[in-house]
Amino acid sequence: MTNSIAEIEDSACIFITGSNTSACHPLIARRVFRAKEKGAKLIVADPRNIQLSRFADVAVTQRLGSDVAMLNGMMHIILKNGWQAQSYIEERTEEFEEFKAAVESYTPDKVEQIAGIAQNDLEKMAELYATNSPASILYAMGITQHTTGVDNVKSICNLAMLCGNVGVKSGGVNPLRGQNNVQGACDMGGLPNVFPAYQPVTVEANNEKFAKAWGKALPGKIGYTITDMVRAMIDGKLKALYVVGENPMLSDPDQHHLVKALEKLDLLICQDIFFTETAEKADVVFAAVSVAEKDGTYTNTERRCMKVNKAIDPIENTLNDWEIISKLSTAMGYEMNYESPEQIFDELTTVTPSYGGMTYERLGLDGLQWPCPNADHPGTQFLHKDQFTRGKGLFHAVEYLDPAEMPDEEYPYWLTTGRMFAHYHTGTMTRVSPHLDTEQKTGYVEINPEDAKTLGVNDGETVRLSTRRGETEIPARVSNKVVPGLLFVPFHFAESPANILTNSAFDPIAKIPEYKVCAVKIEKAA
Amino acid sequence: MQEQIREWLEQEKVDIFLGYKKIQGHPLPHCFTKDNLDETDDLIVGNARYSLEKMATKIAAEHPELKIGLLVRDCNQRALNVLYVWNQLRPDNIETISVNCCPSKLKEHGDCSYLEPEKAAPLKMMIGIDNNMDVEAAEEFGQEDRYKRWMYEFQKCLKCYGCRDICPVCFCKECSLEHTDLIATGSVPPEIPIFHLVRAVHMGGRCIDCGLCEDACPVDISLRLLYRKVNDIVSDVFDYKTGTSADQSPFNMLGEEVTLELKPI
Repeated sequence: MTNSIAEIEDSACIFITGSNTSACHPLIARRVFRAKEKGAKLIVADPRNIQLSRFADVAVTQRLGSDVAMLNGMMHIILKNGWQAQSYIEERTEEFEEFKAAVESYTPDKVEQIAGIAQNDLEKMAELYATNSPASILYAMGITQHTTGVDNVKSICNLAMLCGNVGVKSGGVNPLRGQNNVQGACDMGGLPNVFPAYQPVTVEANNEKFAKAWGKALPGKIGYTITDMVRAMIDGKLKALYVVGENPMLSDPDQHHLVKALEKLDLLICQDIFFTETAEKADVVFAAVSVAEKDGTYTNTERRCMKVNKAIDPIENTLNDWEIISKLSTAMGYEMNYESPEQIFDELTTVTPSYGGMTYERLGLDGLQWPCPNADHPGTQFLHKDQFTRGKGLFHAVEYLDPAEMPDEEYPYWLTTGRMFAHYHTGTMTRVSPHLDTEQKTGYVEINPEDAKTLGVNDGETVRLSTRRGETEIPARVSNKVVPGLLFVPFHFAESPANILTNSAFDPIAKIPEYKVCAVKIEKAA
Repeated sequence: MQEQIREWLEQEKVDIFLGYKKIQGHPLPHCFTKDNLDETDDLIVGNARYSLEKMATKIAAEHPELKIGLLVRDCNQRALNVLYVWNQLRPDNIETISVNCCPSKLKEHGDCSYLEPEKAAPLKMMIGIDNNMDVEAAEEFGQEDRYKRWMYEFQKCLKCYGCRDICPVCFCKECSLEHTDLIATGSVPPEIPIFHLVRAVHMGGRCIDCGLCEDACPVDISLRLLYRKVNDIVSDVFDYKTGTSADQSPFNMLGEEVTLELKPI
């Protein structure tokens, strides 16, 4: 997030798209409700009717994968009415003219054709966003898990810059991160192309810096993304895989394809707190400790690095993640002799500029938000205040592209996947909780009452879903949450896995798979 | 006070004592025992408020003979009374040390003022239920308006169960809120208004107006007011003031005559 969670409460307008915030980020939804009650305008654009849609000043259900068209359409209207923040654009951004030319053709009529958004709704969205300042944009995987994921994010940034909403309190571009520490993992260089604090591996100076810090020559080239890894496994170029705290058997697209890839490996290591579906396939399983048993830090969605303190000692035959990695590394010939997580933290702050001013002592009760470059720095509540990281904010001319797969005669329905409120990700942690299990015991597919009627399917009846990748049988949930022609399957349930259906087509830059759109056939199960 | 608790533990007047201790900067509920007598020096009394009596109930369920001491404010004492009435705790096994309480609607010389909700935001005043409102003011809304306002509040519910989980007098082994024949599962908001009404009905003769539910609610639903109304009815119909004594509740035995007129279904 460019901005902070608490700031949302004081936004004059909140635009939520591709995030079922009240189900998946309930404590951020709390801020949205409070903002709304204080008088903020609320815009919700989601292919499904979500809980927050009921509270919106304008709520639309755009067609899956039509986000670029929708956003360009909003910006087209803003420019037509002269609602843009002209002086901000002139002082703080560049390549505005190219961008402006690109959105010229996205008339409300054209957007209605593509996205199915009524013209007056689109106009209202544009007006509310542009004329209530500061305006904050919240989004999540509904924006990113597309073959056009990067384009979608660029369009959101265009919109925010167009109205001068980046670098201001209670505004910003705010992706809501889906895990408590995914921000921290990325900050620490858990990506194939960067060292900690996003220092590119391809820059020679960075390579030298880290080679010196770690006492080892480094390859200096970009590694594999998950998407690349699966392909490399199939091709026999990747022979060993070490999976830590992840369950790709359920979370990666196109399960059949992934199983084939895993079977080709010489060695699969799995490190988790529970014996996951992926661990079942592993040659070696390391039992790690849970959150209650460990010390360390997490960095959350608002870039806040916070201390976590163990409540109980680790249970028998388990180890801290850092201990497992240290022992394994030492056994493989690169000695790691750390005494504590704090010692590791102190080391990382010397090579991670945005964490440079942090110590366990300074983190205290509330943590610190990066960038926090030196010992006197109070941390950063919101980014890009006086200038952008690269200097000027760069507008991108983005054209709408169709998703990789769209409904046709054979597979006539749209399918999207996501989370539901009672479970988390592949259910490794939540499906073993009796209360959460009571809340939702099985997978399901949401289907509009009209479609259910056409198919002769009643609520709770089993249906067969099939795509070009595979098929699964699953109970139907008849619901107005989905519009006619659209189906939704939550991906928490191994017995009716969404990822047997989803398309592994991916964004060319981010390599993120298109979990949010594919074409599907639905039939009553025999 | 620390000395008294130490004495109690030493002399085995109590086996454990439930109070608060500052752990890594947070005032947290803590179980003091004879094995760590020096810890009693770290016992604190601050603004922090948890339902220590709920913890006592859970401990007593597993160790029925254990003698439990705990810090009580006025609200904790009311909750204890309810727990005695419902046989969740045995008064003989409980020892209490009273600590200061604040001016609240229920007790003139106590201080729950830090629990008072902030001034309600404009939209909430307009279409919802102001958390600062009292029962009389809420009843001034017409029936239809009042229903709409409550439905607005309930629609925000995230089904986090914070209200139930923090509640000192929620002790049922099986919770009706999780009974799938009563309330559908699997979506947010939960089925409304039934989810909130089932809980409200269960608060009749039980809720001791401690306000922890409302404090825990992430979306500011005016739960305290809702349960106050329920207990006003209990008070009017049965002349029973919940939590004021450990006397029998009108709900845990059948009376000799019907005091409510049957209404047509």
